[in-house]
Amino acid sequence: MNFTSFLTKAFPSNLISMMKDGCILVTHQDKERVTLRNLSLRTKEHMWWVGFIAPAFLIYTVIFLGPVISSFYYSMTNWNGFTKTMDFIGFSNYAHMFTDPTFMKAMRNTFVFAGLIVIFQNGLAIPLALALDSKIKTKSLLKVVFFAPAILSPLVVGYTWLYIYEPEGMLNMLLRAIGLGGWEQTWLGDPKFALYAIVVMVLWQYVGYSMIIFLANLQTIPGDLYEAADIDGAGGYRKFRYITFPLLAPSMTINVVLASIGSLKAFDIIYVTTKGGPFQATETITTLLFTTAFKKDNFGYGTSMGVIMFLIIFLISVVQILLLRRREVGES
Amino acid sequence: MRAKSSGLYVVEAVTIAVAIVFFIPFYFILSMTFKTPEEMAGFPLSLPSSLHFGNYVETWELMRFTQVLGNTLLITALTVLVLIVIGSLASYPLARKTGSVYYLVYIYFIAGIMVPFQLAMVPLYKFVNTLHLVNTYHGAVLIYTAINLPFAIFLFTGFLKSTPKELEEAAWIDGCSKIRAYWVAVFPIIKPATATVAVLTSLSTWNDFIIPMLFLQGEARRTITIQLYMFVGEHVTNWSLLFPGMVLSVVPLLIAYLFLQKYIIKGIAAGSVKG
Repeated sequence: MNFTSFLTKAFPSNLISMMKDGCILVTHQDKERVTLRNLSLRTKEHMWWVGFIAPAFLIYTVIFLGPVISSFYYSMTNWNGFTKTMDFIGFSNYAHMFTDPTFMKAMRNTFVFAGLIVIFQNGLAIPLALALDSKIKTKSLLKVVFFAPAILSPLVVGYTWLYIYEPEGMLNMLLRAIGLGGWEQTWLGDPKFALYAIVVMVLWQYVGYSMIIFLANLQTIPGDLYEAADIDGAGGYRKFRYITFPLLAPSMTINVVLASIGSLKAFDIIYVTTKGGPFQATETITTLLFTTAFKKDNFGYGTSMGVIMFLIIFLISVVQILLLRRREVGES
Repeated sequence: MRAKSSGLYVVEAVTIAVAIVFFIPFYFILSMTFKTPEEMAGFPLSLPSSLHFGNYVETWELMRFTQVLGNTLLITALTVLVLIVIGSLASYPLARKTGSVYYLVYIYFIAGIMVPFQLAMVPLYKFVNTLHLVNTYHGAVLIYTAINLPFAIFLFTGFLKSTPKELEEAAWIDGCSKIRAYWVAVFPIIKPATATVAVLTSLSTWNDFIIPMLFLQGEARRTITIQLYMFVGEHVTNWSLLFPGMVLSVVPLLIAYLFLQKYIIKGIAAGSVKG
């Protein structure tokens, strides 16, 4: 007992330092070996992940994002799409655009078109979603009917409505049959009506799509909230105003953003029905971009319109997401 | 109680009325295909006197519909397949790894959602021309895959983040390679996301018009939309051929929709609520 205590008292520092040295030496070597092995394991693992990402990365970069980035360059040239040479002309295309009455008209039409679609698509989809969320018997059948146009191509929708809107088409015949012959119009042929006529086509196609998204959201609202409101004596309107509408915020964000992007990018349905006419009444940035680049062989000017369109879509979606998300957080 | 249920009847009646208005264009086109020229000039909502399929047979041949349908099916199926394989593979490390490089790569992919195709269109046209990919199946599949990747990666990554890692870790310990572990332990559990991507991509690829118009105008490679567009251009006044042409172009999708409507509607709702 005394001896051991003596030993520990006599040689503590030596012993400890020896042990420490040995240990440090060992762990140091170990550590080196482990880190080396770790390193090779980790690089090996990373190589796997790089291999996982590479195909998507390559296809996306070469086929999509590469051309997008080169667009920014072409938009500063006067390239016609055929010749080997082109001149770098800086921002002249952009400067020209804002003094070009054709482009300004297209921009105005694009905003009117998109604005009307965002308002009415959601304005019509919410009541339909509420109706299909209630206890009506035919709701599964009705859901199929309302959503059906959304699976069609804009091309088929365009042609169908082309014949409905014909001077001797279905709409005018129906108006005549119910004694409103005086309302007859050459719907798509009249600059006063053409843009609104196309808005109606788009609404017919996509109201059901927005409705499905609202409906999915409605089904997540817990029923006890309405029961509590019943107990408090709230009527249908107050229940909608204070429970349903605020809790629809997430689907509202999605629907507003989707409808905005979709309508700003709309091309097929306009191109196959009016090609932007009559007298540019339905000319939007996309149709003008297409005719400028591919029909008038002005690639440089066409791409600069594409860049402006991208900036518009980008700004609008970011602002909408920020504003609408705040509403989601604030109220729900 | 009584007032409540009668209110429900009013809601139902109004909704059915709206649904009928929605359905009229479908009925109009379909009834037109069976009408004789004299009947076509008559009241638009009248029923055709007989069901004669002569218009359809003629249109089928003139549109070379067998070939066109085959092209569309092939391009859509290959796009969905390639997109699901490379999209989910890329999303897997992007969802699991926390390094900033992975996050940057994720942002790089997602940025594509905001970019309208029209911005890539002009240089892509030139590029695809130099690579001689115009009027080829693989050219079209590559383009569709590229433009659908951002959204697919967004959906897959979002879904993968909510799945547990234990399964794949168990597979690693058992000595599976990363790719094998992915195939046996990860790919099967992301089925809902895969279904959503498949539904949304099939619909948009099948119905797309602008890419066939730019890259698939050659007779042998046309898809349904571009063939219909050309067909309408050629027979611009011949309604007895145009209406069957439109119905034929819609029928394959409509059949798929009626059989799969539950999954399609669910897929769209899931895809957007996740978004």
